[in-house]
Amino acid sequence: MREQVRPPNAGTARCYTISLCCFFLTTACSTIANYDQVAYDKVTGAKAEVLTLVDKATGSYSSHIKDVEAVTLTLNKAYEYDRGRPLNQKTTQLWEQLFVKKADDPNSGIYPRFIDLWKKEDVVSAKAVETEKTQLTQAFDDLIATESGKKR
Amino acid sequence: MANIDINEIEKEIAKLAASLFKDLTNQAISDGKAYLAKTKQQLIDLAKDKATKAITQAEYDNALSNIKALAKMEKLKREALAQETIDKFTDGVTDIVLKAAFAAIKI
Repeated sequence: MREQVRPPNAGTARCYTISLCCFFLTTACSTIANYDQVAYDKVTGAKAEVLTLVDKATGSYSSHIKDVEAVTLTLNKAYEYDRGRPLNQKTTQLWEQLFVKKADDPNSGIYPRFIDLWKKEDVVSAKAVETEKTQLTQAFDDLIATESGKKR
Repeated sequence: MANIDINEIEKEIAKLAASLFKDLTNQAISDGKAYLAKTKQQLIDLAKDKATKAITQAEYDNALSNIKALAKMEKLKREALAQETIDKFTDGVTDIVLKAAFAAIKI
């Protein structure tokens, strides 16, 4: 007896095509977080506050303790917000270079290192403040550029 | 049976890849040059400031550590931007394939 082979019809083709589309849709997931306006606002706000604080470092640390605490809190909120976002490891690692002193990375923590320096010396020279501002600007701009480059 | 134009899909994907990755490469080259120039200038300025005693040893050490941290940040930023481009490419390929599939079945 001859085996009967049914010719492919339009319905079968449609079914295959839709299956293929479903496959692509499910596998084409993002590997990095999407753009987040709140994160962008937090990092740009923190940049402005940090640069204003660093300007004050030519004055005595002891008279600016409250300012340091307030800015550190702003930075902490921005960092924790980004750290809690899924698929956001690169941004978190960027934040760590800026805000976290890691035991296995002695150069990490640009901001806390500056605060330690200010605390230790009580007054920072105008030239060092200028350099610190340039470097902090560069660090924040890296974070901002990374957020801006994300898919909207 | 519905026909999917594989040649057209390949052409579109090649066009997308050429445009996205060319942009990424050009941006990386220009950013890399700017970063190197900035770092070189910072090192020169630091050496001068230290020599003229405009900054203390502790301030010099702090700025030097910052330069090393910024180098890591530059690398991380580039990696993130490359990852974003790969995601855009994947999305673009999905769009192309879906458009071709829907055109073939006339949805």
